[in-house]
Amino acid sequence: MRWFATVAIGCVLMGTTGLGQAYSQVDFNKLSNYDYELPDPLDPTAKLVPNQIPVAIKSLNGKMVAIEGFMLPLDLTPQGVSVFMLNANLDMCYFGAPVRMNEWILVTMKGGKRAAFTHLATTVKGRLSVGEEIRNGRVASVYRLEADSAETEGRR
Amino acid sequence: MRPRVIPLVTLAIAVVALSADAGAQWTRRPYQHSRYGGNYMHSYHFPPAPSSTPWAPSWSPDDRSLAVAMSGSIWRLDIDTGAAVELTAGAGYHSSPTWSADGRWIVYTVDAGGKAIGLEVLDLLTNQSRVLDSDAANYADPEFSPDGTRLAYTASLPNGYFNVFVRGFANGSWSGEPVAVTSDSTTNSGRERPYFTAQDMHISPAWLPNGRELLLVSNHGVDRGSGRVRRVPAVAAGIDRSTVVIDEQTLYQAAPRVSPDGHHIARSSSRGGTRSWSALTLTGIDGTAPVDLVAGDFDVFMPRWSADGRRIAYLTNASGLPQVAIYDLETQRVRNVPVTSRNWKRPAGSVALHIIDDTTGKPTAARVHLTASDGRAYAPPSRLARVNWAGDRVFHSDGGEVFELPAGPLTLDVVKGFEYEPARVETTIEPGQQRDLTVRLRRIADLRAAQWLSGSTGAHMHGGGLLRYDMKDLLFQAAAEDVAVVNNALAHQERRIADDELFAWGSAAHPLSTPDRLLMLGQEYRPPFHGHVAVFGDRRRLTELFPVTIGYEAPPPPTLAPSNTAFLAAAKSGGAITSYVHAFSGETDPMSAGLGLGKAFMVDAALGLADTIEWAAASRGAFVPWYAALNNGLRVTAIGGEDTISNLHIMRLLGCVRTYVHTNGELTADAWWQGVRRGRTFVSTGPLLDVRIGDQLPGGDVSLSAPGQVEVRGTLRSATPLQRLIIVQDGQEVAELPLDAGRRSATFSRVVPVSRSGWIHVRAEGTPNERFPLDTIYAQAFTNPVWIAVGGQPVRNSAAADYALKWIDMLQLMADAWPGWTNAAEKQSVFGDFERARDEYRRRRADAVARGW
Repeated sequence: MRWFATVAIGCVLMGTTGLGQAYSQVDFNKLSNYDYELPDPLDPTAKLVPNQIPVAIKSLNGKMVAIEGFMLPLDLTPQGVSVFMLNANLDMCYFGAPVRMNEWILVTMKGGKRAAFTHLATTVKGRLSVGEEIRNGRVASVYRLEADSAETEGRR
Repeated sequence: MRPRVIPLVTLAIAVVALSADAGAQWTRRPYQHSRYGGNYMHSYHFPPAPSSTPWAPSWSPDDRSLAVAMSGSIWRLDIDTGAAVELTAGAGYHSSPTWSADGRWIVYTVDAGGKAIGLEVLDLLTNQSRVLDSDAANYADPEFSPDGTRLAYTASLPNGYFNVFVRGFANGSWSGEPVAVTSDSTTNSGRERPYFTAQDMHISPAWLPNGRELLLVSNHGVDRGSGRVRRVPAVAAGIDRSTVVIDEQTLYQAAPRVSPDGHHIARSSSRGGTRSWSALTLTGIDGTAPVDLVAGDFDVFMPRWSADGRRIAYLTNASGLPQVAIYDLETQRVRNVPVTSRNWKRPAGSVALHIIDDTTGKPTAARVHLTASDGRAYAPPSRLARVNWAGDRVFHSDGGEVFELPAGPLTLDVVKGFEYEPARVETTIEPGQQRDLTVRLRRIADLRAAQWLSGSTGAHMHGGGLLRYDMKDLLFQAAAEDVAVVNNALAHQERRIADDELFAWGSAAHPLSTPDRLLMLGQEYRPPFHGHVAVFGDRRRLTELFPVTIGYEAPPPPTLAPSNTAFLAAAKSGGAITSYVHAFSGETDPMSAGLGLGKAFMVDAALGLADTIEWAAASRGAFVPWYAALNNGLRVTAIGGEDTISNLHIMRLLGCVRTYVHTNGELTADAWWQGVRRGRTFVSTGPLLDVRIGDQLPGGDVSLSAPGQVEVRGTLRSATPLQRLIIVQDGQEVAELPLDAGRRSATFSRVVPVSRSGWIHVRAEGTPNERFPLDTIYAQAFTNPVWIAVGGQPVRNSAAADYALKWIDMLQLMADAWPGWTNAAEKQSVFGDFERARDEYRRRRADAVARGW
C-alpha cells in the first residue's frame, strides 16, 4: 500500500478494533476534495462563504473514522503527544503548496491518553467532528477528531 | 514495506504556521485549487500575470510570426520586423498561447488575478474569444495536436494535483470529454518527497508529430525531485505505459518540444540544477547525445520548433528581461527579435511618468501600483512586472517612465519605502495621446537624519527562477524601496550554491555599493529540522565552513547531525554574526506549532551562538520564544529580513520587512554590523520608531542602584493607520500609548516602574485591512530591548527558564523520533548540545529561584 495510494472513492468500512468499535476509512483526498476558501484577510469586505462543506463530508460529522496523515505535535511530552495536527502533507513551502484548511485535522487523544510521536505516517482512529470552529472571529478549524488511537505502521 | 517518512523539511517562508489556533492565523493562498505548487512552482511554472516582455512564444503555422504573451494579452509578433499586434483583450491576464495548425485558432490561459487560471480560445477569423474552461481549477500548458483536432493541457484536476489531459477540439469548442493521460498517484517508493509532495506531478505536455504520443514532465516513479521527461501514449492512463527519455531533474523548466520530423527534443536544461544557468539543449528523440545549442551566463527557456523544423524560437534573459530569440539550425546562428512597436487592439495611449522627491526636487526611484481602465496592471517594457506577497501587481521605476497602456481611467499608487507618504494619482489616458504625469513624494520621516539606516538582512538574489537578476538590479530595487543596506544571502539551491561566484567579495561591501546604498553578501545554511541559520561577516564560503547539504535528490532522509550548534560555533570562530532566519511566524506560540521553523533556536540562544533572530513577516507568535530568551538574560537581537527571492515574479518585495540600525550615521558594513552587535535595532514592516528608554537606544543598558523607574520616550510615524502602540516590560504589556488622530503618529513619554533587572521595548501594530500599500499581513514595528539592571543583578526568570527547558525537551523528543539518524554516536553528540543548553537554563533557573524570581 502506498500512502494516499488511490483517490478515495467513498468510504470503505474497515474491520473492528479490539474494543469492537467499527471505523470507516476516510482519507484526505476525500476530506479536501472541495475548495474551502477563507476570507482574504487583506480585503476588508471579504466575508466567510457559508456552506462550503459538501453534504457528503458533513455527513461524516460524529462518525467513527480511521484516517492516515502526519503529526505536527502541539503538546509533546516523554509520554507522547496528546494534541496534534494531522496533516495530509508536511510543509512544502517551496515547491509544494501551503496546507489548505481542509487538509488537516485537529486531533485530541481521548481521555487524556497520549500517542507515540512519530515522523512516519500515522493512522488515527476516533470520532470526527465536521464544521467550522470559530475563534476570535476567524475559522480555527474545519475538522476535529477525538482519537481512540494513533498508530504508525511500523509500530503496530 | 518501508515505513513512510516525512522529513519535516523546514523551509523558508512558512506561509501557514499550524497550531491549535491554525485557522485563526491570517493566511493568503493564491491559486487556491492547486494543492501542488507553493512559492517556487507558482513562479517557475505558472506564467507571469502579467509579463512586461514577451513570454511563451508559439509559432504561427506559416512560420512568419509568433504568438506571445505580453502585458496581459496575446500578441502576434512579426519575427522580421518585431512589430507586435495585440490579438486579445479582456478580463484576466492572458498567456501560454498555442496556435492551431490551420492558423485559425489560438488557445491561451487566462489568469484571474491569482485566483484561478482558465482556458480561452481566440477565433482569428472574427477576432472574438470564448471561454473553454473557467472554473476554480488551474489550467496551464495548452498545446494543439499536430492536426489541430485535440489539445493537450495541464490542469489541477480532479483533486488539486497537476495532471495532463487530452481533449478533442472542433470549430472553436471542445469536442468530447477530457481524457486523463495521467491521474493522481503516488508512485514514489512510499516515502514523502522532501520539497515536493508524495503526489506525483505531471506537466508540460508536448506532442510528437505522430499525434499519438506526448512528451511530458513527471515525477512518476521518481523518489526525489520534480520529474523527468517521459514519452507517453496520448490515451487514458497513458502514463502507465510511459518511458523515461531524459533522466534529469527538470525543476518545472524543461518544457521539452519535439522537432517536426520527430528526431530531436529541444528543452531548457540546467543539467539537473548543477549549473547556474539553463541552456537550450538538443538531444535525440531517445534523450541521448545532448548538445547545448545556446548557453552562457543567462537562461534560455520555453523552446518552440518552427513548423519547418529549421528554427527554434525561445526566450532568453541574456540582456535582462526575457526577450524572444530564434536559433537557426542550418546556420547555427541566433537572432534576437526585440519588440519594436505595439499595435493595440483597443484604444490606447501612453503615460510619461515622473516621480520626484519633493525634498530634493530630483527624480527618485519608487514602486508603482498601476490599474488601467480594463482593471489590469501594466508595467513598462523595461521593467519587471511583479506580484508581491499581498497580491499587489507592481513594478519598480527609476523615476522616469514612458509606456503605452489602454485608454481610459488610470489609477497609480506610488510608494517609496516607509519614510515617504504614498501618493495616489487618478487620471485619464486619451487614445493616441501621451499623458504627462508628475508625482511628488513627500517625506513623513527622515530616519537617516536621526542616524537610523534601514536594511534587509535576508534577501536572496537568485532562487532558480527564470528571471535574470544581478547586483545592479538589487541595488535598483533597494533604491525604489528606500532600503539602505541589502544583505544578499547566498544559499544552497538545487545542486549548487546560488550566486556562489559572487562570494569572491566575501562579506565586505560589494563594489557596486554607493554612498547611499550598501550591498553585502551573507550566507544561509539550510539544514533540515533544526532551522535555517545565516552567517554574516565570515569570509569562508559555506562549503568551507561546513558540510553543506544540497540537492533535492540526496538519499532520504538526512541525518540531523551535526547540529546547528556545531555550524554556528564554526561560524563564530571566524568572527561571524549569526542569525536564526525566518524562524517563526504566525500569531501563536511556536511551542504550540511544532516549534516552528527555528526549532533549535532556544538551544543556540542559550549557548551564545544565536546573535540575532530574524522576523521575515509580521508575527506576534515569534515574540513568545524571543521574550523567553530575553527573560533568561540572553541578548539575542531582533532583526528583519523579508527572505525575498528577487528573481521570482511572485514574491515578497525587498525590504518589506527590514531592520533599522542606529549607526551614528555611517553607511559602512562595519558600522552596520557593529550596530547589530550592539542591538541598536528596530524591526519594521512599515511603522517607524525612534525610541529612547532611560535615554538609551535599543540594545543599551540602564543601571539603577535600586528599584525605581525609567522614562520611555520617542516618536512614531507610519504611512498606514495603526491600531496599537504599547510598552512591553519583561514580556508583559505594561502600557498602551495613545496614537494621534489618524492613528499614524505619536509622540510619547511614559514613566515605567522597575522593580528588578529586566528589559523594556516598544511595539506598534496595525491591522490587515489597513496594510495597503505595505507588502505585509499587517503593519508591525518593534524595538530591540533596552536592558535595565537593578542593583547590579542579572536578568533571570524561572518561568522563562522552564519554558526554554520545555522547548528543548520537545525538540529532543521530536529529534529522537527522526528516522534519519545513522548511528547512536551522532545522536548522542547532538543531544549533548541540547543538554549543554539545558544546563545553562537550569543554572539560570536556579539563579532566578535563589533570588525569589
